Order: sequence, then C-alpha cells, then structure tokens
Amino acid sequence: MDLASFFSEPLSYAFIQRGMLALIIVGGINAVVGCFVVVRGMAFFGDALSHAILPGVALSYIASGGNVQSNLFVGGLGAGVISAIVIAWLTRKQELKEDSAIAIVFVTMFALGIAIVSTQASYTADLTHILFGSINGISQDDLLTMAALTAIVLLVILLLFKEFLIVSFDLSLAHSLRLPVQLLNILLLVLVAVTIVASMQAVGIALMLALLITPAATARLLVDRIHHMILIATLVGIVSGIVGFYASYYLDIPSGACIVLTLSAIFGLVYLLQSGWRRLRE
Amino acid sequence: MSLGKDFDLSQPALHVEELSTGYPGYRQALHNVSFSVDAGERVAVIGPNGAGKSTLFKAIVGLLPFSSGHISIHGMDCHSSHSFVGYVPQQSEIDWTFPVSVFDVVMMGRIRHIGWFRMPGKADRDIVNDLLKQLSLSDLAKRQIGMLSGGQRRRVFIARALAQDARVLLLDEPFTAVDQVSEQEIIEALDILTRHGITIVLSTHHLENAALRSDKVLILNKRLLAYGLPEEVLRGPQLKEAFGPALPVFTEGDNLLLFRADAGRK
Repeated sequence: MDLASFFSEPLSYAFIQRGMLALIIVGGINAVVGCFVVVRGMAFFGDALSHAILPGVALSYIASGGNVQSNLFVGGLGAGVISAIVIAWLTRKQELKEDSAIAIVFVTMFALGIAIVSTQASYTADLTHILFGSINGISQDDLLTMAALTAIVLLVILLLFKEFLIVSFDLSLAHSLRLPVQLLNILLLVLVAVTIVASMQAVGIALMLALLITPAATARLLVDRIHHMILIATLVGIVSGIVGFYASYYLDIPSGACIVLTLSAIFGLVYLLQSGWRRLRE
Repeated sequence: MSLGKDFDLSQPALHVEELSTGYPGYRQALHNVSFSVDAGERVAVIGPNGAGKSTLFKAIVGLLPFSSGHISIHGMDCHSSHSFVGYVPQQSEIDWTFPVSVFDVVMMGRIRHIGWFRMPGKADRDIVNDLLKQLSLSDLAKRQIGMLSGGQRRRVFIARALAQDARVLLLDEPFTAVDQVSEQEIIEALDILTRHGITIVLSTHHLENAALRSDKVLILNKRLLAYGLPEEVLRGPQLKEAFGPALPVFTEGDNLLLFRADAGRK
C-alpha cells in the first residue's frame, strides 16, 4: 500500500469522514478551552463536569427510545450547566472548599446517571457507548451540532478574552474594575460544559479530561504567554485527533484511547526534550 | 473614558467613615475606622500582623463587603467608583507562574477604557509602552512575570494602576521580601506616582520608610489608634499600644529611637 492510499483509504466512507472531522473539531475546541482550565488549575473540575453530564445524557437517550445517534446534546448540556451552577452556588461562601463541593456534585450526578441508564435492557452496551464514545455513529446532524457548539464557544472566548484573562489571573483587579466576576466565572464554567458535551460522542466521558488538559499542559511547557499557548495547544489537539484517528482505523482500537495515547506520547516527548534541553544549557 | 460626573477632585481622595468589617463582636477585623486622605498625599498604614491592614485595603477596593460604614473616592461611593482605585496585592496573592508577559499585565489596566467585546487598539498599546518606559520596564516587556525580581514585580503592578488611570493606589506590603536595590526602585516608582498627583496608601512593617517617605502615618490594630504627621504619630505610647512588647522602641529624651521590625533577623 502506498502512502497516498494509506491516508485516503479510511476516508472512502462518508461516516468515517464524519468521524475524522469530529475528532479535528473536538481536538481543537478542547485545546482552546483547556488552556483556561489549565492556567486556572481547574483540572479536577473538568473531570467532574465530564462525568456529571451522564444523567442528562441518559435521560435524552431514554427519551429518544434508546438511540445513541439521536440528539444527546440537550440533556448533556442541561446536566452540565446545572452541575456548574450548583458547584458555584455551594462554594459562594467559604464554608465548603471548592474541591469538596465538586466531588460531591460529581459523584451524585454520575451515580444518578448510572441509575438512569440501568433501567434500560441494553444497559452494558449503552453505558459503553457513553463512556468511551463511538465516532462511527456520528450523523450529519451530530456533526453540525458539534460545529455549531464549537463556533459559539470560540466566539464567546474571542469576545470576552481579556475579561476571562483578568478573572483568571487577578481577582482583585477584576473586583476593583467592577467587572461582573461571578457572571464571568459561571460563563467560563458553562463554556467548559458546552465543550464537554460537544466532545462526548467522539471521545466519551471517561477520557474527556485528557483532551481538555494534555494539549494545554503540553503547550505550557513550550511557551509562557497564553495567546501562544492557545495556538500550540490547538495544533497539538488537532494533530492528535488526526493521528489518533488513523491509529484507531488500522490498529482497530477505540478512537478515544488512540487519541489520548497520542496526546500523552506528545506530552511525554516534549517534557523529556525540554528537560534535556534545560540540562544541556546549564 | 471620561471620569464619572460625580467624581469631584475637590473632595478628599479617600474618605473612610465608621468602617466595620466582619460580624459584629465576632471575628471583627476592623472596628469603626474613620480617616480621610487628601489628593496627592502619601499615607503609610502600620500595625502588627492581623491588624486588619489587608482587610482595610480589600474593603476599599471592593473585594470584601463591609458590615457598616461608608467609603468614598473623590466624593464618589466606592461601589460605583470603578477603576479610580488601583490595588497592588501582596506578592503571595498572585500566581507568578501564570502565562502572561509584563506587557499583558499592564494592558489589563486598560480593560475598562477599551470596553466590552473589543481588542486593545494602537492608542492602548502606546499608553502601555509609554508607561513601561517611565518605569524602566521596556526591556522586560515580553518577559513572563515570574521571571522578575521583587522590585520589578511591584513596578509592573504600579504601571498597571497607571494604565488604569487610578487616582488612588493601595499597595499591600510593597516592601516585604525585597532587597535594598528593589526597595529603592519601588520608592522611585512611588515618586513617579506622586508626580502624577496620585494618592498613595501603603501598608508596611517598615517603620523607617513609613517615617521618612510618607506625608502621614496611620496606626491600625483592629481600630484606628493614631493618624497624622509621622513625627506626631510615631511615638512610644501609640506604637506600644499597636505592636505590644514585640516592638523594640526606645526613647532618648524627646527623640524616639525605632528599630526596623526585621532588625536582628538574617
């Protein structure tokens, strides 16, 4: 097999093309949003939120008569936004530490989701789809929804970039400038929720965190300005999406696992090269 | 951006009236504090750890709700006086690993002038570059903020307050954990602010600087113990009351001999 057919062969089916596009979209959007998650130290929140959408996804799934292809976005988004707001509400006074509040909401929602899914006869297969994703099942409509959600998230970040930067870096400045700090923080959490929901079908809930954290963390090793970090993270996210896609096709391994392993390999390589380079300079 | 129409330069730059924070009687950080600072003055707030110096600043900036009292900036209620008050927090409150450059941080001060949903324009970049030059930070503009000395870090935040067009600047412990060179740099930066007519309120453990470099000194320990000219306020009885026996204060006739709070360490 020559090189051209190595790349083109998997793309001969429309549903596989859609899967590939989905992975590119998902890799990019997670990388951008992930930069804010990483610089704010909200990795745990991202993990919790990706699990907390389960009951909403499960309800949509049951409402549509046990059809994975159907629109799970609405339920997932609802559960994600509710979780984000409940966490923000629980921590508005300092009696409860944020990580405790996140943990409680996270496990409650996840358990609720499992309870809902378990009412279905096809319980195991359904749960597997939701946890690990299935890129072969992405319909034209799903892809359009993912693209639309991604466009909205990117637009909001573009429009409010300088405000998000200030509430992430220096709350005292944000307060002294009378920015609507609480509103901006909740909006950022909602953007994380939207990103997770848009990515759910392609990579699944269980491995979501890697897409959100690893590209941004890799970029942070290489540059020390958030603008540059976002560009490099996006590149890493998209490249991993493509590499993961081909690996998944030829090695017959689930796409989510392939992407995450690619991401981790890139991170590991950059980390080693960078510490080697630093030692060399000293 | 024009200054608000209620902004009145003939009013005191900062007026604090019967300010109390926290729950009455229980964990009350500040109790009934009143004072007034004229435009362009420099005031040093001194007091032991836990005296409520940071609390006072945070209340003025709007970071902390207060239970009773009133704060006004040039005659405007502090809750509506956005961007007239600049705040340089304690070093420990900033994440110095955050991926932003010196230029980025100073540009943050422009946000209210730029307005919602817009990017900084050339005018904003010119203002920021000019301020970096004034504070001798031009060569460091692209550097990540963690890669700076203590004095440079303070100057970046002072430049940001200028970018913000703050009329009143609050500095929380600007002289803590900096060497002599940095200390001198910070003092020079403060002199630039004074030339701009900006009112400065800073907290310090450093009684020598408080005495030499300020128009007025405010002694705080939960409540206001004394406020006035340094030579009137920095006297044995007031200092003993504020700091207790921990502060070495000696008098020689009418002269007060102070020892720096950090003397004898190292």
